[in-house]
Amino acid sequence: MMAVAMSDPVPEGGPSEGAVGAGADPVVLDPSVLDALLRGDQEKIARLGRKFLDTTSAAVDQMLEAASEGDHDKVGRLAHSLKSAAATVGAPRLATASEELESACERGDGALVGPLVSTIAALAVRVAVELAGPEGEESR
Amino acid sequence: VSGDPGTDEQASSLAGLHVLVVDDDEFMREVALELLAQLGIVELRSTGDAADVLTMIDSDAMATDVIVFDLNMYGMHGTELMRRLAARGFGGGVVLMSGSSQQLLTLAVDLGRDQGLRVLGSLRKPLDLIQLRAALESAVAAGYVRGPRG
Repeated sequence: MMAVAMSDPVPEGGPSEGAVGAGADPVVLDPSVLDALLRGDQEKIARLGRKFLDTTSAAVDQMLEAASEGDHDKVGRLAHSLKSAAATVGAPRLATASEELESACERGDGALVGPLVSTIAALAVRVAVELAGPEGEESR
Repeated sequence: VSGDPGTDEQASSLAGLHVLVVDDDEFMREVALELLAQLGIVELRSTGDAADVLTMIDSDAMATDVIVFDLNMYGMHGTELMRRLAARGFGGGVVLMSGSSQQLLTLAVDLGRDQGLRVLGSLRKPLDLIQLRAALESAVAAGYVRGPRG
């Protein structure tokens, strides 16, 4: 699942600053967002965090496959869903990149789709690392 | 937590509602269920397939007061679900959710109301507990809590 290298692809000519998973980006994940939503209930935060990782991993896999097949409608639908999920857990870069990908698909801007999918895959890995926290780091 | 909308008094006003959540995104469905539980609602059901909704309300022994559903679902789009609910004369409340623009949500709300549905409101994702509570409280105020109750 989500077998994506931790590359940091920046598509030529775009996407915008907000969508790029640059290493200097300090806001991959804002844990206060999910914490506030779930009123600090650590058990629920952990459970929904795992659910987010599972669904995002599957979505990114499907996105990569659909992009490779040129199915931009499907890529756009997946990006639409990921946009909301990422905003819900407090992953603004991932949400912004997903929104840009959704827009690119709607515009039929095929040149941006591949690079943005790669950006999203890399960002999703970074969010997963942040969500897993120190325990996740130790187990890897 | 901003607004801290989960006081006992507020929760109790919603506790009698029977709510059905429909979203083909499993994570967002879980989030919606969690927020509804925070509001004190116990009678919760969910499905990821809009087609299931029609079956559920056609054989609805527990009566659904409010259906909270996503507009942008695979298979059956939310607007089609609204059309079918209206055709069945669904008398409960409807709350729309979407990650799309507010403009699109407003159009969908108008469309649902034109079809005779009791559209209580619309929620832009990511979901907001205060807005969700407000929509459901309007269902209680409007008397959409229906029977039979076991």
